[in-house]
Amino acid sequence: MRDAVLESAAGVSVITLTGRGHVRVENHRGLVRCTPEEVAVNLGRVLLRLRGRALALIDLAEAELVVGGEITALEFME
Amino acid sequence: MGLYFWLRGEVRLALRCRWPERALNLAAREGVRFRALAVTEEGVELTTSPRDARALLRLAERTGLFSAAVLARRGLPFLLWGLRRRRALAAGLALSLLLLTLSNFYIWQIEVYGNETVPTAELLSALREEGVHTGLSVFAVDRVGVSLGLLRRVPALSWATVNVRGSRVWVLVREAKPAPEMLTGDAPAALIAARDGTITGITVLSGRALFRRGDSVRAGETLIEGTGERALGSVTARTRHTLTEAMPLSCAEKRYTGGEARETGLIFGDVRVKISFMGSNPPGVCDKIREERLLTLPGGSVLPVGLLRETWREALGVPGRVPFEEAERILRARLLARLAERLGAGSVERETFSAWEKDDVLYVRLEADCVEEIAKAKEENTYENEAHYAG
Repeated sequence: MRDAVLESAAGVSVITLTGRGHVRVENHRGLVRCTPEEVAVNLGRVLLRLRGRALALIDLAEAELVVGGEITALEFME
Repeated sequence: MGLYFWLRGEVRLALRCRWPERALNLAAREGVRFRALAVTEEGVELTTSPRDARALLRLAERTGLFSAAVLARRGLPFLLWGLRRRRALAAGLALSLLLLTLSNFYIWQIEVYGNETVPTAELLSALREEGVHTGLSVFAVDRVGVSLGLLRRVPALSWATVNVRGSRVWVLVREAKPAPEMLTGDAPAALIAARDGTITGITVLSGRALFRRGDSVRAGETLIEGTGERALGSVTARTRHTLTEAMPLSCAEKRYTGGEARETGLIFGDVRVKISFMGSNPPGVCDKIREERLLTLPGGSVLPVGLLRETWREALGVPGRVPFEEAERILRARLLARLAERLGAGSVERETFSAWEKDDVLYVRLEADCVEEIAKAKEENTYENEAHYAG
């Protein structure tokens, strides 16, 4: 918990995956792609790519976003 | 749509652009919150508040990055906006909402639960004397004070709690159990047999037993005598009970003639206003069925308005006859109830019924062999096996 707070304060992205159906990304740099099969999020130096079925953007704010749906893959692209 | 969203109002927008993600990022930077996002071929559709919808429309105009079109507007603000030219209707709606809200602060229904022997009417009367009645402000109900007052006014209660939920008061009570008989211990009384029987078990806690297991005793005979102190103990015996019940087989039967009248009315608090009457007043004896239904909101709040319906059904008493089997079934049930009352904690080992008809009256006799407690204090009167209905 302490580490997460420190990372958040330092501007490092924090990704919280709850089961297979919920991802919260804090300190993101913007949404890159949003389709029911794929959601891509800019994390600064890397791109976070979520793949799955019936993906949906539940919440999008300047500091965080939440994606719901059935997530089958999570990968980082340099 | 939830109540919150309905009260706030919602706007469904379609954002058309080549890169909807950019539009969403821009919206997020502007602090726009949305929900129910759906990706379409032309862009995205989303639902947001009226304020955020205006911000999105301004953003689209300012940046030119995307176009925004309103698909639908829902909720109270738009409903009121649509009614702006119909002032009387809007005023009526606003007044209704105001009255609806205000009515939630008053009690319109009082219910009592948990009473078995104390009549509900007595409890409602006690509540009224404590100041709880329909039309009272919910803030004026002193729940602890009313609970204590209720216990003070109705001694048969051992516990009471008053709950207020919306405009409904429900009172939960528990009735007091009668206090057990106190043994004074100073009089050296004896225990005597309450009825004839053959002793199957004897336990002496204080005093001296005059009989043993297997002995036959007659009602009134001393079983345990006190020796300087009060006699205490238990004596079980095998006993025989003979009970008889009777019922006339001919009776007056209620038969509906088909004559019926109905009255409908409205309920406003304690006031009943009758608004329609259908049919004619039947001349004979009538059954009156009264039904009152108060309007209840989905959350359980009861409103002081409702519907009243009264139905009169004309009935005539015509000579009839109770079927033999039906009468026998009723009398058997009565006999078993009487026997159970007599036995208390005792048990029935064997029971035999016999039925006969005489002068259009059905008699049913129960002969039961039982095992029960027969010892009782000498001060009490003995009672004998009854056979007041001659066979």
